Amino acid sequence: MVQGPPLLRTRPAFTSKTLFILALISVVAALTVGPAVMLLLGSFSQRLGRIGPFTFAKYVAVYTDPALPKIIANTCIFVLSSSALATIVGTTLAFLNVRTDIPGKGIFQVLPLVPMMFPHVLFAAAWIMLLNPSNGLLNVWLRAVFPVSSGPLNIYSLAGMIFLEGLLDVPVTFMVVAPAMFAFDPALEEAARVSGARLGQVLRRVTLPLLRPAILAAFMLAVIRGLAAFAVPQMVGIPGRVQILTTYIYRIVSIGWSPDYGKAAAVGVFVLALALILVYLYRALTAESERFVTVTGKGYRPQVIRLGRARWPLFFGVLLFFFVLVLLPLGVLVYMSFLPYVVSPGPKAWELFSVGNWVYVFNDPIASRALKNTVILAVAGATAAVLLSLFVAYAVTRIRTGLTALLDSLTFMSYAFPGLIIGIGFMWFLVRTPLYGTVWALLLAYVGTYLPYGVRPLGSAFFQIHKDLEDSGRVCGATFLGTFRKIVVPLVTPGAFSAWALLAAMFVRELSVAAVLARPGSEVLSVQVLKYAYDGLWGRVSALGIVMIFLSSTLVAGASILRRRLSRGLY
Amino acid sequence: MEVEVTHLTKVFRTKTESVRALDGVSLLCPSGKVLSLLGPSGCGKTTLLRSIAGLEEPDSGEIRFGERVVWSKEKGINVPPEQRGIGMVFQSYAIWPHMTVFENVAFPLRIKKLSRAEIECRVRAALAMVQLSGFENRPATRLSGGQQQRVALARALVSEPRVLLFDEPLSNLDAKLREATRHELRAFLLELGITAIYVTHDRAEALAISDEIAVMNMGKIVARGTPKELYFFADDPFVADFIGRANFLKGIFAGLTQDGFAEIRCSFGTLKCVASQDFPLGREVTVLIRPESFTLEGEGNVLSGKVVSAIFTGERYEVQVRLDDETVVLAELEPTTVSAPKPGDLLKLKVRPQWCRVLRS
Repeated sequence: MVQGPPLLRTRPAFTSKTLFILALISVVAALTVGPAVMLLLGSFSQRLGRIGPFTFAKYVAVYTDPALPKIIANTCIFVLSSSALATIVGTTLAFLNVRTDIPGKGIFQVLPLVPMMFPHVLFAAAWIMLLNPSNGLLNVWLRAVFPVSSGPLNIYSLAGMIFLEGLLDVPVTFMVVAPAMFAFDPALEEAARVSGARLGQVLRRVTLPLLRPAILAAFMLAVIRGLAAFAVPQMVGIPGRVQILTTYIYRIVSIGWSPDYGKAAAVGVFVLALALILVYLYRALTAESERFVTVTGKGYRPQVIRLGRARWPLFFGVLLFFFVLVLLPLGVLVYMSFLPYVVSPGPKAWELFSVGNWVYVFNDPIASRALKNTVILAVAGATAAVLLSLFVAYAVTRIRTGLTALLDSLTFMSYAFPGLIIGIGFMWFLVRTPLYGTVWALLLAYVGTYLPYGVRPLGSAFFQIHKDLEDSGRVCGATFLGTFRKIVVPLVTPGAFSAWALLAAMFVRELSVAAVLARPGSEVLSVQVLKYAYDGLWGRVSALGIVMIFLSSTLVAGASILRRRLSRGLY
Repeated sequence: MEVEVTHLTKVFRTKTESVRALDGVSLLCPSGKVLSLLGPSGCGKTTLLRSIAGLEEPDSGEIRFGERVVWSKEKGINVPPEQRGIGMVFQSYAIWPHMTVFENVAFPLRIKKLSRAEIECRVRAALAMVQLSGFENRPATRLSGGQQQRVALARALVSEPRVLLFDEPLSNLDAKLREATRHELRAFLLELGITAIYVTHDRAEALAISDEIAVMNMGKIVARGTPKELYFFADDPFVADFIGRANFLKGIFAGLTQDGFAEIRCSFGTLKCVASQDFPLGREVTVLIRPESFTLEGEGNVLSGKVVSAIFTGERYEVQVRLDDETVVLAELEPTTVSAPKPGDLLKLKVRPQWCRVLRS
């Protein structure tokens, strides 16, 4: 064997890289494993702020609660039904978009943007204004048209919760299933056609079975989000006396004179464990479905199915869906922001028409503070999250050692985090630090909880940059960090802006972490909306809600304008 | 069963341009023969094959399987692919990853609702034919490229179709396996005696597999013939160039010799050649000579010059020779009969008049 200096030269690069990864792992672990462990320790502790003395009392107290079996049953029905609804609708829409000649396909591009723009708490609020059993606008209209004296529809019910949560998760299932349909090798179907199968048989025996992993993945993702759902169950479930686990936990920490965080943690640990199992199952499943795709390098052109006479009815069905998902709730919010309480359009509404709600929310000191805090959290939080994601995504996609695989798993863990429960974990984590009760506590919790939403898109951005571009930087004499700064970062910048926009919009609409962690002085808009809704001030809910939507839309638009300008300068 | 297409056209339109994938193609594939569609990518060969399969709809023309018209714009006939009675092997093989080998091959029979016993029997027979007996319960995802290709072939054959269609079936195999499979496939098709249409962009593959080749370019069939006819006697410049390596030499037609060869006067000397048409005296023409037609012994035309470069590729020496008038020709010489040429060597290349072809102009 030839001995020589090469070993000496590679050694320092190896250790600096390892140090870099170890530093990332400790930061990410602190933000993800940290609160989860604190939640577990907290559940065995007597009081908030001190770990120990060790006790089972909280578990005994909470798991012997006679209300719990009913709550668990509700949770199961709510989560499974809303996920099934979202999966069926999302898959149908994906199929119509990718595989059929349905007109007006541009409309489907709106779908991924909806969850960025429309906070769940406002969606629920708008539907309460439409479908509450006493003066919901649609109910009033239905009573005028049909001979019924009360109702007829009641949003304050398990069915109402399922309907709203299902609709809200449609974009998620759509975004999982649609790419799988695009990536589908049409030859797999054509082989069945030439083997003598009719179109219906092909869909049933080849297409659907092959898409099963993607559809199952979409369903599991919806289940994970359903377990974490808080806005809808709190807004429409609580008035209808339908409790699920998240609202049960919220009640333990928010109602009464002495919130019992130990009890909340004891329930939360169970939900978190379930979510973690689901998330890692989901991950295994999607890895499997990636293996399913047979890459041939031929340009895929999915066979377009002619809908024939069903074309226009289906198109109007899709239009109706978008109307119900976006336009109707948005219109109701605008309309209601000028009224003191829910009144159907008509002379009476015209009489009551005023800008009172707008004047109120802009003069309410708490609402103004909430606005300021929300802007800080969105801008600073998204920036911090993107910076951290940039390093993590780079390490995970580029360096690829056992350590980066660990880093990947740690990051992925946050997908499981129900905001409300991990918020309680952060509570324990931060309660003895000066951060507690400040907006910075919220910022840390946001970054930890939503890290994968930054790492994922940036990871695929890195994936698209050919390794040679980077290697040539090293060959030309730049250091590892120099190459990262001068070559990798500029190339990945457009992707970073997209991730920033996504995270900023998520931080504006964030409710469940904030519901636990926000304290007087660190209020945010979403929690303020929840408070107005609790007091039945629907006009103020609407006005403040429109401010929220305006804020997140501005941030998203600003980021995409900047991104476009930068990428033009780049190429 | 013979397959005939007449005046088939197909235009692909995008927002910015339209491409004539098929420009009035007429073609007859005789019963029991293997016909290759050969051409560069984008020439329309795959579109033609997919139109025959019914996976693509042309704009006008007619497609006939034996006596039965399966597609006709005028008559408003469009038999869907599943009723055309074809077998097809796809470029990506299109082996369904959610089924076992057995289920993949059994699929066409299950659609026909045959009895279990018959399905079992025919699938085993088909798998035996492609030498995959014992692989029945293997998941389709755990097959090598060559095995997937065989499963695809078994699936295409199992329902005893009257026409077999191949869409570049060997292009995803590695070079060595591809060459071995060429032999197998040729023997297989000969034995089966089935009508087969075979799309490829690989000239060697087309030459090896087919009874006849149709060369396509820009949506048209530009030549048609047996492999040997096309290789040595193509007189269309595109076909001559596409189907093999070629030297094109410019010269002037100087009349016919007594033994019936054309005399072409080039600036390095005069060549005796074969011409398929008459030319006026003094007409500028192009002569095609295949690199492997050159030898160092024997008689015929003599081209002398200096070796510019010589490489040894295993099967042969490839030698570039600069002739007196600076024209460079490529010659392939058998390494067993020639000592290694070196740059600067003077060579007298010989080529018999039969292998010198005057191209159509």
